[in-house]
Amino acid sequence: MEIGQDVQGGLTVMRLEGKLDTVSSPEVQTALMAALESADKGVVIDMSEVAYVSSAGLRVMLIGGKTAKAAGKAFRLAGLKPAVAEVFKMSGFDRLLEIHPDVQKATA
Amino acid sequence: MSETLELTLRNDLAEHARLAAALSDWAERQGIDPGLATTFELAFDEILANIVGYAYDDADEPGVEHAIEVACRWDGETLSAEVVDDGRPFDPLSAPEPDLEAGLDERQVGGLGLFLVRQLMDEVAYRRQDGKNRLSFAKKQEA
Repeated sequence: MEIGQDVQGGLTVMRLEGKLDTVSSPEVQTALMAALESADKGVVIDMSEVAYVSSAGLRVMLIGGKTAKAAGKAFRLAGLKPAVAEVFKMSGFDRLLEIHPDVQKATA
Repeated sequence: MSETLELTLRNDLAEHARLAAALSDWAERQGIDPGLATTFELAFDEILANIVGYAYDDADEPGVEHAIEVACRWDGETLSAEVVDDGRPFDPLSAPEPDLEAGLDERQVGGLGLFLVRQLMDEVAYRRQDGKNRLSFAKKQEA
């Protein structure tokens, strides 16, 4: 898993590239918690290069959503591939988390 | 005429990467849709995480290793797979479904993996035979 980030208008944009699975989820969780802590307004996760998300990845997203809510910060996902969007829908996560078509819309 | 991929894994999460690479190569040679292969890679992640995390009472003892046998079969239309482990008896089909209606605060983080496998596959079957768990699942390739 490759993790990159930059700041756009007070929002930290985290770019994930690879597979968000059992093996990669712990490092993504660590990076996400640090980003939520340091971000002014919140975190946007660019998912456009994520091939798939397993339940371990969903768990990290849920923790991200709960942590952001408790801190009064934004937590948005952007650019989900169709197969990834399907997993979010199956698990009901599309109703729990704020999902945008792309980073541009998520940071607007 | 069907083609088969067989692999024996150790009970170690790192083995998923080896399986994923072998599956991807094999699927490409068979002309299987990459999206279907990815769905199976996701299912294997859930199933292996479950076996490695919960199936063995002696997993923490030094020098103890268990073999997990994986087989994939392609008949030109349907991809099917079987995972066999010698862990404690566990029927994934009996696991309770997660509460999909719970809000962000109430939503629990566990119980989703095997639910996703059941949702993603056309068929999932479990049997306990000769002291082993045998989980099989299949999905037809979309035309």
